[in-house]
Amino acid sequence: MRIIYYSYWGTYAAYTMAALHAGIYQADSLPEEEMIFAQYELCRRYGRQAGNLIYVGLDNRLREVYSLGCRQHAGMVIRAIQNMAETFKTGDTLHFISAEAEEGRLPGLLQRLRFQNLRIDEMVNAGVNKKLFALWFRRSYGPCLKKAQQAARTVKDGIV
Amino acid sequence: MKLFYCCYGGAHTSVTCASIHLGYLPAERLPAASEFQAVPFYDKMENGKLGTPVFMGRDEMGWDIHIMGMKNAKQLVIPAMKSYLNVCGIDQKNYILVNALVDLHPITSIGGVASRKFGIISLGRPMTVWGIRKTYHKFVELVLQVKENLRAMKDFA
Repeated sequence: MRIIYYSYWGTYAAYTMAALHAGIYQADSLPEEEMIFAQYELCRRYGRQAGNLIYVGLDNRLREVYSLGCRQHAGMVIRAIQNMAETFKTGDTLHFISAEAEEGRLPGLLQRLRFQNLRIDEMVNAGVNKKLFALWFRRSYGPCLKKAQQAARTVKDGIV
Repeated sequence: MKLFYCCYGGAHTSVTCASIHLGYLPAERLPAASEFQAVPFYDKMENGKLGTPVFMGRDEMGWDIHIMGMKNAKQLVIPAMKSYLNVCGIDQKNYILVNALVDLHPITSIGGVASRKFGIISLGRPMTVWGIRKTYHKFVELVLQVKENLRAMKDFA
């Protein structure tokens, strides 16, 4: 069984929820700054890519957890993946969990700021981006945690 | 082994290519308009089913031929399919994705929008057939090229 968290971007809320589900981030406290900035780095490098499954880890029932960026075509991407499983008879059970509501608008702004980094002094801009990312992370952590815990509870083997 | 003809709406160009490939439409002459109407799945794909591969048949070399519509998201859907098959351990040589969006006559596109988007089938469907008949040789060339490559792959294997 594979559990796939998806959203417009694959490295923001979808990744946070997948990391919470896989136990990389702890439920009782915010991750250390080092971990937050590791995700910032992931967003900086791979935020723009979409469609590729990002393997995050295994959950406590040894199910593979992924995050996926779908842009505005989530429905079609999900159908394509589910139908590939059927066409190739992989025997996989797939669970898709939306992280769109937890994402908000800040990731889009961050991606645009990053895009304009080339023009403005990179050090200053990177600092602003990092602070904005940390702000977004802290604000979205609670809702992501709630949704990931709910998903982990409801996704049983073969049953949602 | 599976071959997917991919296009925008999964209703006209990919269906035409798959039909030529499987012999539902002739490769050596221009088919009549009525022959298109007889092709399964021609001008039938619903917008809500885009991204779903549809099985059209098995060719003489044993390849399962599918059609698939991806709208304007092929840069997204193709990596998603490939990365999923990759994590499942399915080798890339087991499937081929063919871009069936050949140089279309504009009437085909207008007819496709009329039929699939606005539901004016009585007007749109004949327009798509008319447009595809105008550029039919391009579809035949694409399919012959695909078949040649498949034979070469088989010989090489």
